[in-house]
Amino acid sequence: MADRILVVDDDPLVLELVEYNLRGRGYEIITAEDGQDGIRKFHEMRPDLVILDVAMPKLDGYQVCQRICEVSDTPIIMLTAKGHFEDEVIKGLDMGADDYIAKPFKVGELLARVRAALRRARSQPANDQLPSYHDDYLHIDLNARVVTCNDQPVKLTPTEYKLLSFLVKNKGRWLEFRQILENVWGFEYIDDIDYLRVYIWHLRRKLEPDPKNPIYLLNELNVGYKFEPQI
Amino acid sequence: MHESIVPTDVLYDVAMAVGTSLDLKKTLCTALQAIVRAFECTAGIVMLAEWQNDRLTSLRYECVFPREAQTLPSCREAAERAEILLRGQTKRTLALLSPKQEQLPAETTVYIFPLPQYGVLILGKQGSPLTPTQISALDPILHKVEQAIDHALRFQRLEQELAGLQQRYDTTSAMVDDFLTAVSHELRTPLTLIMGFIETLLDGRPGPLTDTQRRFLENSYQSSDRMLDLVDNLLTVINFQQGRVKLNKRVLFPPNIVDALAEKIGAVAAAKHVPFTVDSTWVGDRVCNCDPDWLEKVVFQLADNAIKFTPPNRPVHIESALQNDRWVFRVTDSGVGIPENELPFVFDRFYRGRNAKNEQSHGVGVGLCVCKNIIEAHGGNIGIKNNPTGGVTAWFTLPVEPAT
Repeated sequence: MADRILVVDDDPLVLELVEYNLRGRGYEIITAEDGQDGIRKFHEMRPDLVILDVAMPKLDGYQVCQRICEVSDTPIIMLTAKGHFEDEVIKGLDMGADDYIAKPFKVGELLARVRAALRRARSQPANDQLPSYHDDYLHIDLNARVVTCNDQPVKLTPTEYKLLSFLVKNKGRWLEFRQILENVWGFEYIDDIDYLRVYIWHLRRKLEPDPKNPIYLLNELNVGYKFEPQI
Repeated sequence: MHESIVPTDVLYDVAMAVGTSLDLKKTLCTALQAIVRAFECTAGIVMLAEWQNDRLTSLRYECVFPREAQTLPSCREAAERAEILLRGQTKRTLALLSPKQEQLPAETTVYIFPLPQYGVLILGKQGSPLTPTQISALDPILHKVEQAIDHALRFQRLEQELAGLQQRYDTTSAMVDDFLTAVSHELRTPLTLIMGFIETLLDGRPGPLTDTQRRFLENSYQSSDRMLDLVDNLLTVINFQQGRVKLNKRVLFPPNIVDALAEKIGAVAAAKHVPFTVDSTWVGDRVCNCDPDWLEKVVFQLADNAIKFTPPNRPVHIESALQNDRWVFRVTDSGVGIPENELPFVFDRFYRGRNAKNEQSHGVGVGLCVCKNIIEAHGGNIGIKNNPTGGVTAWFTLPVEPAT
């Protein structure tokens, strides 16, 4: 069955452009012209992916993104007109978006991002291979999808789970930025070190006793990251 | 002995006070001090008056010497007398008023000298009064004091005007920035659509294209792309100036940046038939901590400029090396050069030199401004100079550090 993609943008021409190109590649497309309509159609049609414009009247892209992420793991790609400014990007990723594309985007680039996001969403690692980690402070059981700090459960987004799994699976080993990006996000992303930084920062905030002085998620300039066991 | 006083000394002191400072209070105090000392007075006061429609609206102490005299009853009394004297005067009649002399208790004589337009200078003297010679000797000195007040007040007004202009300038630049930001953002969305639909047409999916159609669409796409570059440069300059750009610094080996771009620059040069050479040497393992995206932009921009202003078959040369513990990068062209009087402005926003305009090159004059912002944000220097043999050399230097 064709993947179903919901595109939300208040500009009908953007909708037409995206719709034409995605439909031509065999995707099923649903469009919405504002945030409220977008949320309604999301619940009605249960798409596999959402492409969401940031600047919209009534309910903006961030708000829509947040509401969708509260109830589902569906990947979201944000369309931002201000892609050059990290703040906007980070805000989107903060709200739970999977990815962003800056306007003006190349159609080819959008298609590549769509493919990668759908592939990521499908590639849930086989359960029997998932590692776990336990010490006095931190418990990570990826099979049960349970992470606790000081016996308090921690809620992680799908991407955060994926990143943490990859790091824990290779615990004690330095992993290069590109290696992590390719494994967690896909080969299209090997230069997007910013994603990685944002997600590591999120994980540290959620898992580390002191996020500013991490002991689990370590960084070596120009090398990469590693998960350091404390036992 | 008093008769022998030569007012030249005092005149000199007063003139010095007038000449060395434009601060009203400071000038008056120095002048008053010189007068009080020279004429062996007990105290001196300068009071400045303000009139509105020929009515005295305020009279205030501008300066008293010695300072502690201000608390003396006789000083207050002298000031009151001066006020009574001035109340009946307008700015104009004050000029016609001759000095007044009044007797206070304790053998104190008070002299009130009008300072036309401005107020009064009061001298108090205990014991022997001033002689008529001394009083007339004060005349040119008082004239100097008036000049001092005049200069200082004019200066004050200029300062206020300047502050007003500065404020207007700041407001206007902020408006220009806001406008440019808004316009640039608004341009991006239509550009997305123009480029997106052209890309879709070129993709062939909507239907087959003839060669001419394809070429025209490619031309449209290239022009849109150039417009996008301009918009991006504008936004970059404004964002740098407003401190909104965050650098993603990484440790980089400078020859890698130059080598990575050499091919791209070479292609631009080849298209214009400009022979292009690179001399990139790096001894040691020093590295540069910088944002590679921005740095590449500078290297490319400087090289692109050099090629743009160089006629075909004349060389452009790039030099990149470690010198005196800095990364030194130079692009030398053999183009038209830049008139010396334009050199100081080439890094200014929207500045386009005469030659740039004549070359019919594209641009609005933000390229070098972007470069300057980027290099300075990295703690480096950037410059451009004419070569003795023709053409210009654009350069930047950046700090380096030992590789860890």
